[in-house]
Amino acid sequence: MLSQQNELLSAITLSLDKSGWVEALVIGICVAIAGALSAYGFTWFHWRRLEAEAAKTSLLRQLHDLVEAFEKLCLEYWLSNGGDRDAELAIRIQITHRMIHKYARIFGNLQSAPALARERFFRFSSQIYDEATGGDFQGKGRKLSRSKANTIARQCSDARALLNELVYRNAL
Amino acid sequence: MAIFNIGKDFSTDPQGRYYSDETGSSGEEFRELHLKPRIELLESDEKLEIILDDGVESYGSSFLVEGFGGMVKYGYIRSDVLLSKLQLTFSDEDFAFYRDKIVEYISAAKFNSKSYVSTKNK
Repeated sequence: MLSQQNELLSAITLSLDKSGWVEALVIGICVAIAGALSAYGFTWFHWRRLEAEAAKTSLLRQLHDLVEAFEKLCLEYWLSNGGDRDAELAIRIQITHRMIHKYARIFGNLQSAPALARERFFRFSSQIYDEATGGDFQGKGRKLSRSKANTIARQCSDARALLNELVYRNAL
Repeated sequence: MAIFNIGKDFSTDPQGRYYSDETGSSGEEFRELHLKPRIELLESDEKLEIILDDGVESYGSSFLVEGFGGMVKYGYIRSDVLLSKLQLTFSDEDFAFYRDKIVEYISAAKFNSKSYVSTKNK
């Protein structure tokens, strides 16, 4: 496209010697404006794409942090026999899970989100909810459960690995 | 259509599975005192709309399994019939998750697989 513009400008310069120089000038100005608009358009789309990718990476990192926080809360809750902090931990577990699912939904609605990753993450959200808030969750006299804690820790680790992979792929 | 607003008519903080959990808003209490009687009063083609999110911030799986799945588990109503009679509504999109889980728990429950024994006063 640039070479074509150069040829056109050369032709215009040569034609200035002949009659019709005003016409040649107008054509030259139009070509220059067209070139400037093309460059602007390309730059605009390029920066929009970069901003979208940066927003997606930020969303994935926030999800990663939420999963990490959720895991810590669940381990503290399920590795104890209930105590003063039980009510607070239970609320924070439920609300943190709600935030995880909200962000997962936002990610899932992105057109560029890989379908398989989306499906895996929704499945993780559903399974972790059952595990963390099922059984005798919020029950009086509930007992600690190492198996629950183990399962939750493993599932959260898998989810964080998936998110790290998505962040890495997004950066490529 | 009959309407039941969990936040206004039951509790803004549903929690726990049984009466014996002493939360005052357990799944067992929700089922026995509110959901079961209302389902039984419905006309043959009538539905019960349950508003999930008015004042309620979240639900635990233990509450939902006992509250909704228990209707099928204790033989009060079959899964498909219960699902056809319920309309779960919300205005906050976050609650689509809880709606889906309720449907999942009702569908997965085995009809009349357990005899109900109240945990009240236990």
